[in-house]
Amino acid sequence: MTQPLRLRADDDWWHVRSRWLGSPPWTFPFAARYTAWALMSSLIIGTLTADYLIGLIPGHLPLTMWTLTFAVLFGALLLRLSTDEIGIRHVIGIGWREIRLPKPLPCIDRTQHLRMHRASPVD
Amino acid sequence: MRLPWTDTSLKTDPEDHPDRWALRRIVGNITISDTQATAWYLLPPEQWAYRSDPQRMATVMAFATGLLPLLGRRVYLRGTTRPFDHYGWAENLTTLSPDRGPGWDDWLVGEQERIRDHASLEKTVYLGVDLPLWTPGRRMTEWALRRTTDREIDRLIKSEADIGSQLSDRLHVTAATELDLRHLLARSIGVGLPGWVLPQDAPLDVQDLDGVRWTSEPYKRCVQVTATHPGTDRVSTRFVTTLTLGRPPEMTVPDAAQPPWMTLTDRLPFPVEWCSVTDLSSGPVAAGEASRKLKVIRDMQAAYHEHEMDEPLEFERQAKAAKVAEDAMRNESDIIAARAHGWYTLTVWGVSAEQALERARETARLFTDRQWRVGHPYGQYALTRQLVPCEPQRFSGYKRRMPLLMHAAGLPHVAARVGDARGPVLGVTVGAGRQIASVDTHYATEVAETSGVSLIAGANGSGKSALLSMLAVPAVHRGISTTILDPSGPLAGLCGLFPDQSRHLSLNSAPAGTLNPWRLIPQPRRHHFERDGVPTSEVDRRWQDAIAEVHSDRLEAAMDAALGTLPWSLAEDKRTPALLRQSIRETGGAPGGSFRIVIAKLAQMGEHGKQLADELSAASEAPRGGLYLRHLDADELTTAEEDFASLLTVITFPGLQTPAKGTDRKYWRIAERRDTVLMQLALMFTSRAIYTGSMTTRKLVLMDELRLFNGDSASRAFGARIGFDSRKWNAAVPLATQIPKHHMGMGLEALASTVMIGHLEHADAAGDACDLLRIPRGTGYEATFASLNPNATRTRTAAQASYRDWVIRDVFGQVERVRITLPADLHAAIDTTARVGADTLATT
Repeated sequence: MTQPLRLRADDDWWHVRSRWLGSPPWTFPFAARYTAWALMSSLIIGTLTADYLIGLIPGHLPLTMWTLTFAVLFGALLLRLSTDEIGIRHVIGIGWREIRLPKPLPCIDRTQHLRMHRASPVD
Repeated sequence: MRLPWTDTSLKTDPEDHPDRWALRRIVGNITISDTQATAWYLLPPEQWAYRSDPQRMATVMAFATGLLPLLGRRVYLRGTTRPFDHYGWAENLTTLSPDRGPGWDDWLVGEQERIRDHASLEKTVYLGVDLPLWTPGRRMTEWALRRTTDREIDRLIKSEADIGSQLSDRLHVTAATELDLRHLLARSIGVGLPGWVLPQDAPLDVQDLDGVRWTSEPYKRCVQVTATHPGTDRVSTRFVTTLTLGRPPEMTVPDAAQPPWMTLTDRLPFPVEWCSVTDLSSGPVAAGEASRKLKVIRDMQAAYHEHEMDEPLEFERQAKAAKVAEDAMRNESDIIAARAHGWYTLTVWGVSAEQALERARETARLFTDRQWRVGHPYGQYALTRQLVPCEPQRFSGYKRRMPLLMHAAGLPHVAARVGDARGPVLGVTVGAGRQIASVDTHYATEVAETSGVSLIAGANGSGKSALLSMLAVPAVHRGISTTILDPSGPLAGLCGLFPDQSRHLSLNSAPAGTLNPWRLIPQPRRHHFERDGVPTSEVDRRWQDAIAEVHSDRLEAAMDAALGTLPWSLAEDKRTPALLRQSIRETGGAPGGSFRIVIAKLAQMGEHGKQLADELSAASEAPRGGLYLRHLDADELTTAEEDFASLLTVITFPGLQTPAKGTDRKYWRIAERRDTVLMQLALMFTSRAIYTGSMTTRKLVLMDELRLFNGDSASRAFGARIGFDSRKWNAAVPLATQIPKHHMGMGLEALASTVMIGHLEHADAAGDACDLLRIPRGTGYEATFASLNPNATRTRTAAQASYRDWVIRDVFGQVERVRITLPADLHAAIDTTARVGADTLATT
């Protein structure tokens, strides 16, 4: 084999744009990733469960709605950070590790902590 | 053991430093952690530049074939760099130069400073292979005991030996030594830190790795790597950032216009640490994943049809590509079917975060310009830690999936190397990376046992004089007897650098008969043919054969000199060669002959003979003609030892009138004919330096202006003689001319061990240069020769460039472009550049 070859990476067909379009014949007006459905479902169910456990359900509808709103926004943020190269699982993993990083030693500017001692009050 | 300079505040504290290094133990070339063991090898450098497509394809295939035994394993490729060891180089060169000449110490120090200024980085590529892990039961035992048992170590060593022997056969790898692993760990853990090394005076201990502290702010793009230097409180910090390669473009393998993709970063002016972690799998294994992915694509197509929606076109394209790939995985040969799935990261650093990020952008641009996607994701701490051997794969985004052949086409171990790495430094490579190019003029004769002839070709201004002086001056410092023939004369300035050890010999003022052809070719001596075990009769036979050959060469040289001196009308006469040959043969080839005898014999050979005798006699009356046509009296005879007694002898011949290129010989003037002959004889005169001293004594004989050898029989005989004798007489003979065809005219292209090509513009000359360099002709390399002189290009800067580029083929057949910068003292000694300035005006 001495002739030049044309080669393509398998990445071209590896990342498939999979979307749940709905259950026929009902078609959603939007197409969301399967992972988005899974994530949002988990977050909503988890939030509702937590609300129930801490006593927000039933009887505190506004608070329940707020927690749900935050859950959905948090899910949207995670989805926004994820790409076809970095999945949701990796986004969560990165976040978990980033908050546990060894931090640089603080560089203390000691001049901020100096207080002038005066023998007598300023006139 | 802890690093002696480690500051207490930097000591590893599990609470402060939650991610301790995973590495627990090093056994031979195996690094061991709680969960993995990796055997490390060094990949030998491969040549890429100036090779043909079939050669490059063979290189890629050889690398891919070498990886086949590793299918089913995780494989690491770690590209790193180390500064050129100028101290070791100097020590070695001192050992190789037992007869060191004047000013050795100062020169050697200056050379080391020059090497340091070049900031050359030697590329080193490690190949790591994961070894079979322990059984779960054994792993639990290990986890409980927190150590490895000898039994398991024995198993790992045995496993490594099996893999190592296979890789050694196929890829010619060598097992990493402890020194190599120290270097790898230092460059991985102390990434970017200047001069951070692991202790050399004690066995490697994994606790030594705690001397460096890695820190980072959440969601920042840089990691800070900090260490305190020994004996001082000086703290070094580098900001390190890592890029990861995204989806690659469709690529041609091999690509004639591009270097291998893993060597793109070699061109950057700063070092880059490469790391690839790949799981190699056979075609049938990978085909299962491809089938599942194809099913997902088909499901999506079906879903769109069910919803009566137009499906995105990419599905059909992806399905087609997946089917082709799956078919290749199942049905093609192993090398086509195999797959590499993994991560490719590039790490750069700077003294500030801004510098690190700027370097990252520059690195990314290299790939994005070639349609690669490059990621610079968050999670830099986890991503950068993957540089360190045995660190677990914590960052799993940006995973690449490609054919094994595409992975192999990256060829991380391709390096721009030329030279023997032991001789004086000539320059630095400028093709793919800055590597020191050192050339020992006598490596060919002493080690490679081949011809000592080097061919140099370059147009005016290409830097031939500079190159010759770069070869000559180190040789004089090393105590090698050096002779230079430089007709135009600027190299005579080198004598000023060695006032007590040099001699400037101007042939203009030499006694008549100095260039007598009968004297120029040395008489063989019997003791030169004596060898242990060779019978006396055989020695005598070889000696007599050599004498007969030398006699014949003298007659040829005399014949060519006589024909070259005669006017065209006489030289073309059919009777002339016959009469000349007869008279020269009657004179004989013994050393005592001269044209005086030939002229006397011609005068007795009828009217035409008398006419020839008159012409030669008249020519001998001119001072320059007398140099070769007159007889040298016995008391004026000098031996080659006397002529070349100085350590440096520079022979000049200023004022020669040579014919313009392309002028028909019939239109040559008398002076042009005579000076052409003189130049050929001057080269023969200089070549006598080869035969001085003993046969094993090193000699360096440099000759310029070879263009006056016109391819006649004497030229070829001269070329063949120095080609063969240079090896026997341990002589390095660099020969310089303006166009490569002159070398070919002497039949030297097959004999030369080294070829150096400078700036050439003419297409034919560039094609001939390709032949000399043994690189494919007509594939575009010719154009590179026109760019070797930066001052001759339109894009030159306002100031004249102080360097010249040369394409060099060394004794190993490696070809690279080398940038040669003349040191200031040499530049001052031989500067030939015409300038209009105060100095020039003052002298004129």
